[in-house]
Amino acid sequence: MLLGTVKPELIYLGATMQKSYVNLLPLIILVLWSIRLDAQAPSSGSLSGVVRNAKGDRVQNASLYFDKTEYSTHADSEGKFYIRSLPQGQYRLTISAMGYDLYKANIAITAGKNMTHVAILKQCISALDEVSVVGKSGVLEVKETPFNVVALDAKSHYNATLDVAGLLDKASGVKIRESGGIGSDMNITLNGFTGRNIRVFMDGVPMQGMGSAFQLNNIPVNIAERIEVYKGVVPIEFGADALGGVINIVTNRTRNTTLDASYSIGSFNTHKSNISLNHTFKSGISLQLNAFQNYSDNDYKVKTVYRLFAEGGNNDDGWSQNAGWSTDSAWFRRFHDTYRNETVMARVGIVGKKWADRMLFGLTLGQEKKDIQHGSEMKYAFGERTAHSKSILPSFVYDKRNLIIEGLSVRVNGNFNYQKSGTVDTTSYKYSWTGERVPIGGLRGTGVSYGEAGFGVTEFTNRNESATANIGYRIDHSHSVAINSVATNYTRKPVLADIAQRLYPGLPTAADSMSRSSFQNILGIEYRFSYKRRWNTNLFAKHYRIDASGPQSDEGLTYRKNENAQKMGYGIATTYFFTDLQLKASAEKAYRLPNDRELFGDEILEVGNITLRPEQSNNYNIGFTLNKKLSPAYTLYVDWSGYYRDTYDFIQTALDRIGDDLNGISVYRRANHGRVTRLGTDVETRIYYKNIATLGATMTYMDIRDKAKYKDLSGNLVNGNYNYRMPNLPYFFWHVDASYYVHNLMGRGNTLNLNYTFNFVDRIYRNAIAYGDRDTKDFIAKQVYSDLSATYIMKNGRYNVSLEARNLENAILYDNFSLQKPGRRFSLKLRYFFIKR
Amino acid sequence: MKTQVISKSWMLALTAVAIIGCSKNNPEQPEPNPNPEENMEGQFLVAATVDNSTYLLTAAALDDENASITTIGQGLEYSGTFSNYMQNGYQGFTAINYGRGDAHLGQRFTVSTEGKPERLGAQFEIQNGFITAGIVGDVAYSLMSGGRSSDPTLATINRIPMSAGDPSHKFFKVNEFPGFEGRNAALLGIADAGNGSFYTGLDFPSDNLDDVIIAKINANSLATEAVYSDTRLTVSGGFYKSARYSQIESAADGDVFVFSGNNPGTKKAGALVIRKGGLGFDKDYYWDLEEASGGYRFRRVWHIVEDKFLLEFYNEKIESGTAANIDNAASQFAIVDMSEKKLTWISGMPAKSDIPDLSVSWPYVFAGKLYIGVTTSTEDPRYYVINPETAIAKKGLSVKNASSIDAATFVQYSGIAKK
Repeated sequence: MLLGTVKPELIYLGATMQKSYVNLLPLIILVLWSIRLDAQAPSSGSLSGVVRNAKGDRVQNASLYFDKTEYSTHADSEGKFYIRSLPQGQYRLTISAMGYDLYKANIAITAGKNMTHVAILKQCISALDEVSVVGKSGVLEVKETPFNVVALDAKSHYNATLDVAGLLDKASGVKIRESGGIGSDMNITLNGFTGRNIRVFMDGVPMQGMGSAFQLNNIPVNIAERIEVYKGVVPIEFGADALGGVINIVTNRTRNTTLDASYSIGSFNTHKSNISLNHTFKSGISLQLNAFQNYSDNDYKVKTVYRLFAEGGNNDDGWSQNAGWSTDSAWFRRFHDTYRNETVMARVGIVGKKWADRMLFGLTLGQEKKDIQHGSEMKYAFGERTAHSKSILPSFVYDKRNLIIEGLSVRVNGNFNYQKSGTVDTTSYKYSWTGERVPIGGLRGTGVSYGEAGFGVTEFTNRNESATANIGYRIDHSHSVAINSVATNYTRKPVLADIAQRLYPGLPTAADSMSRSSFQNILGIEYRFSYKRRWNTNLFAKHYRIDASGPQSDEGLTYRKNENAQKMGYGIATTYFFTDLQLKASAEKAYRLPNDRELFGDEILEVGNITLRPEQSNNYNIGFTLNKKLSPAYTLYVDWSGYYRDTYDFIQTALDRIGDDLNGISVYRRANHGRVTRLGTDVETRIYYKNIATLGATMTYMDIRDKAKYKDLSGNLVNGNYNYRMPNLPYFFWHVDASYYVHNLMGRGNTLNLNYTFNFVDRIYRNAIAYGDRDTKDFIAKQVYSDLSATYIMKNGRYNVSLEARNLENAILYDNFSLQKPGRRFSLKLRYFFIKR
Repeated sequence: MKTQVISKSWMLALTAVAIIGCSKNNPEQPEPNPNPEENMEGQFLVAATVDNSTYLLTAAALDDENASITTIGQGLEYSGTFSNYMQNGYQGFTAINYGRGDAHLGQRFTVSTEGKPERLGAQFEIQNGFITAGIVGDVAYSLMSGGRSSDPTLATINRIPMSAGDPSHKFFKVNEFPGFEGRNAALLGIADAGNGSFYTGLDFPSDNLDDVIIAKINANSLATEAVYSDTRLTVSGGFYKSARYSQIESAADGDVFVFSGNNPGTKKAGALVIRKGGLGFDKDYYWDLEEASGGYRFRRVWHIVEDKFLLEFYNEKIESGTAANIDNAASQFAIVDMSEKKLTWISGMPAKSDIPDLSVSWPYVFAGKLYIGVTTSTEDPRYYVINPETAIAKKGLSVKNASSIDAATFVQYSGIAKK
């Protein structure tokens, strides 16, 4: 075959690409294009057809390929498929689709002719099998990309009371850190990156700014089909300026009519419910509705020191003795931590039209209300402080494969996030964990005199918009290109009176009255090469642009400054398949654009710096996946990845100088200064015994080192933590889990599933490790705990009952210093699932 | 023109009672010794910060240019930083942090009998916050008052003993100062007046009072013992954002020097004196420090020895009639000899342009020498040892791997309080 002769050049080009610059990319694509043209052979035919099920309904999005060749395609949303340029010969066609058995057929292709074929797929029988097959298809597809990605099958957890964050926590390399019970603050660490360096998407739409009513730790796992975790090297379609990686929640996209309703009740008066409805009319109009609700008193017990209020309040000479804390800790039930949220997501539109595979308009409405039990450390108990938020999130998505011409696909989405949130802190009392309270004296150095932490009623609104456009073109089975553009906009108009009052009453400055704005655009271009379905390579480049405008102060003078920064990042991801083994390698030069808080400060404590450059990281990954049938009964799965991240130009506060040695002055400012390296490994291994038992483990170890040699920008002050581990990051954690299935228990189609998980997280130091006597340092102790669940699935999954026990040992657990998480707790979940194909 | 006012009130009578009554509070007067600190046994407790944590270290001396201490693997860690350090005798210090909207926290530190830095008592919380603080006798006090409180007629004072004991607090009226009844004062600074009393500057920001007005208050009963005012200077007190600093200090002989940094810009930065035992400002003493310094105004004042004081000047001259910007940097220092009326700029310190604002530690005077820890952009934070006679600074102990040095105090072995 002609393609065979192309191979050496491609390998050569691939090697060049790693070293050369992205501006060669168009040239390379052009060269490869011309190779393709040469490869067009006159002696070929084509195959078209349709995929249906036994009832005659069309099966959408099935994937088709010819065994032992590079030829493959997908059926469209109407079940139709077409493969061109097939050399004459005999082929073995394989079709896989969610919920159906694998389909195989022999096909003969004749030169110059179009052959037709109708495939009738058989539905899977067992509900359990269905769950795993349904999950696998999408999950497998993701896992087989060249990227360092973990795909979590959400469907197999639908009977658990998990939220999305809880599922993410099971992935290797990922740690979810929560500050308390349900609805508490949460952050994600991914390969040692945290916060701003990880971007979260839902169906490719950024979740940034979606508000606290719609976050990973309150979205039930039932909403997702799968969760993809891209580590370090991120495909262009996310258009994300994330150094650490991307988490993408893929929601259910079935065209079947489904109803999934569940309710759970648990310890601490916890109630969760969720209902999902999907229906597509014959006309192609599709309706999707998801609604969920979480409620908890969160009144679990914590062990803490507590405030002591002196009896009577006054002693003989008129001095009140009430600023003390107990010397010993005691157990208290949380008394002011009620959480509730309600969210409705609705999507309506059309699917399976000639001009659109999907065009959906969505609207998400969410609200949240929570009591705040304590401040940044648990001992500061609050009794009345509350927080609330409301979000409205309209969105739009359009996508079409094979638009106008074969191989051209277009995806456009846009979203607008509007969130109103605030806190109420107007109490005139000070609380203790003992439940006692005393009136606050009424003097504070701030505008309002009362309140436990923030004084008064504060309310702010956030608005942000983003739009993504993605155009892809599949030139043929081996070559495809794509381009992606994401634009986001941010504007902040200060409320002069508010700032003046909060900061320095009576002394507003010029900066206070200036609006701040930033516009960001990330443009990505990608080229994909696939050789006989064995070797897949993605080459990509991303152009980052930021235009910022806001106040800048130099030597006492404040003026409006417009800044523009542009950066070019690029990367490669490649994978090779052997029979049971997949090898992966990827590398990216990634950037993160400074966000509004870094550019403009927070108007209270932080002063911005509009001249900040994007942060940078060179990310490298290698890995393999082994999926081997050891014997008819046993299957082994091993997924290993190793990575190195060299992150620099970190935005930090550092000592700096304005002006020259003679006339300048020294100042502290936000600057691109830090450097951190991360060398780590993630492993997941699993052994399956028939469909009866599995034993698995994931392990994450990271060596995250502070590599900034100097503390200041001019290099005079040595950084004492240089070469030491970075603080306050979980760096070694693992879990082991075992599942056991009893099939056809008390009736055919009924399954009992028992699952046990044992978790370990190593000690974490709160502050930089280099400094201070180790014995005096604050740390989060080693965490060891386990979870147990039992699920009984009836009628092939139509009725489900789950019992869960978490933190069986009733261990005192912390993710953050001093902020204790719930102890042993139980829950019962009832779920009903209906599907009509 | 009114030049001097002594508020004659029943408070004066109380003062006399208080002096007699309080004398028994200091039963252990040490034998006169020209320089007792030179022979003391103990070590220095040094507070340094790295990022957002504080490390308490020990050092045998602060003088040696070639000596250094480090935070690497050394020192007691405290998660958090402090805005104010108060050196308390030879026992350690009381450190408190201005918390803005959050709790205003504090911690006392000393050196254990094993010679290691240790916490004295638990972390404490200052009731109602503070904007100014100081030591009276051997007890630390913090004070909150001002127009932004819900009840501007009230101030809250917190009393923090140098022991593991809990702090206590008390309210008192700030609209009843004799001569200024009905006007709400903000209290600036707490300067030990001896015998359990303190001086504080009174600021009446909303009453167009542009005189220097100070009060002497009994720290236990919170009774006003005296109020003095004078038209030659404006308000006595240093301003930095929400923080307020004392500009009143006693000389070794008991004369009380009242400075004014001329914060509003309406008069001149200068000083007056209340002679020991005097009932008001000395009419014959006035020193225009703005002129003496070549046009600079100052923010903080500390006593060194005899009648020599350390002044922290703003780096830039401020136009007459203009209020000092509360954000202005102040990192140049001078020693003023009050009787000689001699101002000497400290030499041998890093250039003011090398010192970021508020990167100078709380000064400490020990054995007749002045120690200032300085963070610069050119080398590791370091102590400078200043001879008060010559105002010449020499390099002292270097503190490696610290973002800044915040304070030092000498802790006497025998004086370590273990309660």
